[in-house]
Amino acid sequence: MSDQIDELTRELSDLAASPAPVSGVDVAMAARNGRVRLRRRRATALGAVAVVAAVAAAVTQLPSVGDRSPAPAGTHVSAPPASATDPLVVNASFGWLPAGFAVNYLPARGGIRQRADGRIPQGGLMGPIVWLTTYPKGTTPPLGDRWYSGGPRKYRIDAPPVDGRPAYWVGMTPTSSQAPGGSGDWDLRWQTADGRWAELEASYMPGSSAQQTLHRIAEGVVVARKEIPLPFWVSALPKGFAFEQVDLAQGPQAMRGTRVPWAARIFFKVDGMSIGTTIQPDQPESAGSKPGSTDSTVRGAAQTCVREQGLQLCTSAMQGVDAYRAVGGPKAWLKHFTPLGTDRDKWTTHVLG
Amino acid sequence: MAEQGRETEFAEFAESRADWLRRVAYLLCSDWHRADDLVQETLTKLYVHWPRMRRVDNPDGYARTVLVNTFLAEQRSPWQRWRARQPERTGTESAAPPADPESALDLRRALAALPPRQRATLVLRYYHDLTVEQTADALGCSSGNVKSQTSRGLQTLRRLLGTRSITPAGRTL
Repeated sequence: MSDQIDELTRELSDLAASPAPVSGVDVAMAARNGRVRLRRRRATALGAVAVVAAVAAAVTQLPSVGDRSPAPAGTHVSAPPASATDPLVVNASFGWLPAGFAVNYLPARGGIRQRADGRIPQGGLMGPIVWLTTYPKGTTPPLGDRWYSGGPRKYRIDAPPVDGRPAYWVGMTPTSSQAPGGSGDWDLRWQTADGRWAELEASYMPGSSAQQTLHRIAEGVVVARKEIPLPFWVSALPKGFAFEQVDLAQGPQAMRGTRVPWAARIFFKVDGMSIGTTIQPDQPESAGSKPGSTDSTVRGAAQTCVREQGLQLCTSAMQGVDAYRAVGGPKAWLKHFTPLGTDRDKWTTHVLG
Repeated sequence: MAEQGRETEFAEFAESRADWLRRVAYLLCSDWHRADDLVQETLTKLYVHWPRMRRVDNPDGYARTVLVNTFLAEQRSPWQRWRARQPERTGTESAAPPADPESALDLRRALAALPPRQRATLVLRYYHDLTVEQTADALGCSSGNVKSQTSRGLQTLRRLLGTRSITPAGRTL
């Protein structure tokens, strides 16, 4: 019986570890949908409070509920773009990266986070991931766990200096013998030339030279404001449209579930609704790949696409076509975009015209 | 500030756990595309309940519980019952075959044939190595229920896999 259970355990592990198609999980989309649910929930809660208050007012002859000003719901308010025309701006950039790595620019509160993804090794399941973060000037990053209370203890281990400046590892064991090539995730923190702290978080870094690789990546990091060119620009932004968020994904997992080498997404807010538009290389094998516009459904949301300059531009909104009322519909909205093709030399930092 | 923390913490957690959750989801539903949908929904729920996530001692366990319950809830919906009767999607999974395709495929099919709750029980007990009590906690049922689901699930697996080739060690389930 024990043998049989052992075999079942082993086979379950084998099955879970079997090679999988490219993931279709979209973390940014999960966060966006989560925000929508929270907003609805808060709106419902405020509505319920208003009903209860109105009933109470009627019963107790107190002043009307209209005299009470409910606290505003904790709505999402994005930071404005750092540049008037380029919404994709970073405070530090990767310099040297191992061959095969591609940098992703992902939205986060307070700015853009960068994640460099490496290739999945032969016979492996996970490719290496390296996150780059810079802390504001004068801020010393805490050693404690940043995710949750009661999480695993973390240790600080001295590391060789980076460009002659102080550096240390943050990891799950008190020795660096396993860092970062062994199990667990490891961070390398170092002080940059202008005094602020920077951090590389590494996962799935293979090989015994992983520590040296991370050191070399750290030495190549350039701490300076940089506008990232994008493959499109948006002209004559209609009144009431406000920039909300942008990201640029590159590498083998650019758009999970597809095989495109990169994809840029930009979101605008209008009348409390969010419109997302994706720009990516046109895929010859994609269904209906021909000039002009097409309508389709992806994960239950209707989307409208056009193909120009070797790119595919698709737009969708959770609220459907209602979100495009101010601009005359999704096709009219896409006419505000000028695609710049797949040649990166032609991409621009003058994005919001 | 709290909202900012939620965004950053969630993104870090979700990015680092998405692949693991996806593989657990695959054991539960036997279909990579459905696994993606399950993980997508699980992550959305985790985002909504992030303050609770911060307080739990075992965030991975909490995430797994949300995933399993999302899977079980989906099985109860009329849409899912309709979908389960449809032929398996083909032609879109382009991954290389597993090292032991026959064995993996057999187990995948056998798991898929189990009732969802038995499947979830076996995955929690023998893939995650949870105790009866931990499994009961994750599934929101009694220890006795876990024992009976385990027993029935193993019995069904043995029956379904009974015709599989005997391994060199002479073992079958």
